[in-house]
Amino acid sequence: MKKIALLAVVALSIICCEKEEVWPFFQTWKGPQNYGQVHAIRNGEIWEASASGHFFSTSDPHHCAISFTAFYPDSILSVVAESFGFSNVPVAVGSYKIHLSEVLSPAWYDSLRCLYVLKHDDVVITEYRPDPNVESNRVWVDAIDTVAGTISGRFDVTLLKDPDDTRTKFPRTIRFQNGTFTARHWP
Amino acid sequence: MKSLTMDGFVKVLENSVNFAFENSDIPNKRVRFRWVVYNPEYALTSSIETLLANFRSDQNVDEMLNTDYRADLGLFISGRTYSNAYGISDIRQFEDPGTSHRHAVVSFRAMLAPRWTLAHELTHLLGADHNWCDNVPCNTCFPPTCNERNYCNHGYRFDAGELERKTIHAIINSNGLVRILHFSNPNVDFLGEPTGVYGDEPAYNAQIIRNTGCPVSAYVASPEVKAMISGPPKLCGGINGAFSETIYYANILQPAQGFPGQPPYTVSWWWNETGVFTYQAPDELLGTGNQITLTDVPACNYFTLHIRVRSDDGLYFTASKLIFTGLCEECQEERVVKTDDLLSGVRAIKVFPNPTSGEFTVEFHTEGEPDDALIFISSMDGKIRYDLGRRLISKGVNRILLDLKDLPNGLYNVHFVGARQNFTAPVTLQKSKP
Repeated sequence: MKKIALLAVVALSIICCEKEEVWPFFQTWKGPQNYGQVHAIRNGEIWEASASGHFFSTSDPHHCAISFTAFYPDSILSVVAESFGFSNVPVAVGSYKIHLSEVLSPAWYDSLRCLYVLKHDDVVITEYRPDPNVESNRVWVDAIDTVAGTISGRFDVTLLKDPDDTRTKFPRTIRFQNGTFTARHWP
Repeated sequence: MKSLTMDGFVKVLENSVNFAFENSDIPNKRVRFRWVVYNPEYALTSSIETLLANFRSDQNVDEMLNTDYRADLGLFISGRTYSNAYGISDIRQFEDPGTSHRHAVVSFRAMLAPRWTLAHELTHLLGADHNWCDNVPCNTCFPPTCNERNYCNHGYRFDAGELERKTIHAIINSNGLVRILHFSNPNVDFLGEPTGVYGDEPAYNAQIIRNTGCPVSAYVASPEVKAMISGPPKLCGGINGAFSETIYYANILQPAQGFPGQPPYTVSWWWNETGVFTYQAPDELLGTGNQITLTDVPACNYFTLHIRVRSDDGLYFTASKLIFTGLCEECQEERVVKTDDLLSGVRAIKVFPNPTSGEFTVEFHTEGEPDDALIFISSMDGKIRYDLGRRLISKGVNRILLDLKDLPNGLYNVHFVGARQNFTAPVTLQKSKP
């Protein structure tokens, strides 16, 4: 009986030792920097992408959107691998808290929000939204040049993978630290 | 000039997808579009990724899809342009056949030719996927997901007619490269080249769409009963095309429980050359049942195939299909009997430029006596788009200038039908973006 109990414990410990499979992020190319660039530390590694801004909305001239895009490498076709961005960013120098709700809602539409998407060109592979348990998720607008049509700033944000995505095994959490960007208006 | 109504425009969009189904041998699937103006606050300021996320989570959209319109899929047609995409879509997964992947966004400016983005995004929702890493060409392998998606559902890039061709799900760049209105299918050719491939890295999106069409159409039961006839839009084909027995099927989309038009159904098959059916002429009745086999060519040039369906609760409904027979051998023989003119030895046929933005020249050489030939241009569904009437064909080199500028982009056939000889020349219309 003692032997059986011992075997059961061993089997259990072997199961517990199995590591959850985690896929690496895609190898990416930062893309053309014609409309801006972004640098950050993503989960401890350098991350770079191209940036662009979307200002001058006639319906909401006091807010803008900032988009970051990274591409699959060695691609002659510029196939998009990652899209990341902030929407509803006030067009004014300041420090702004990112809306933390995990659930998309009418309140979310009116807030400063962010979304990180792993893609294959136009197909969504998985999405990440701000971690509601991280109060420090912020974007800083440091400079606005209305003549050149550029906006510069920083960000620090932790995101969680879409809980409905059980298919992919990309990391459940992404932390962007020391993010800096300059984005020019994309016409 | 009469302007196109929104209903008419949506019909064009609908047809673009259904023509692609027809072109790709997806015989019993059709899409039906309903449109509504919807202008949520989030549509104006969002990136295309955020717009899709919002659209997907919008409860008003769910209510519209599930209750108001009883639609299986939701497409947001955005009037905006985006810096990195013309559209975005979820993709239906084999292992996740629920309704969670039913939303897509398409930018207004890229819905139709030359990119066919609407058909592209819509059929991602049916499981169709991009071309394989080796066939893009680019280093888009992202193991392990790339290898895990080892299904047949991939687009295809190939060479045909001295140009690189891409099916609807082959990746193209943002510089306006064109796709053909085909889903990948190893059994369907385009200018003599197969539009898909079997093997370790198959490209056969037509197969995945055939498989997923029914489960996707079951997402939401429709309140309306609808009948369709599936089968080829033309009999025979090519020069001196031989006829072979051809089967047509009656496809009936059942309404939700409680709505009129419940099964079982009784189907009768009819034909005539006018397209107007009174069900009184016994010689127009072909038979009954869910399918009919045509054993000969009923009429030359065109005829209408028609079904009349009676549901168990007494509702009658119909469907018609215009079928082109102009290239059948039987019909060509009929012309020879009617005329003594000669046009023989047509050779060295050239079409240039091809693709064309509108005007193009067909050049050919004949050795026979002068003749007049019937010239018309048809689209790939067999419909005549231009009837140019009769033109004199001289002995020697002939050059005929034609213009497709009023037609939408796509592949067309130019038909020359003379007394003894006729030929068909394919031409691709690619008008540049305004």
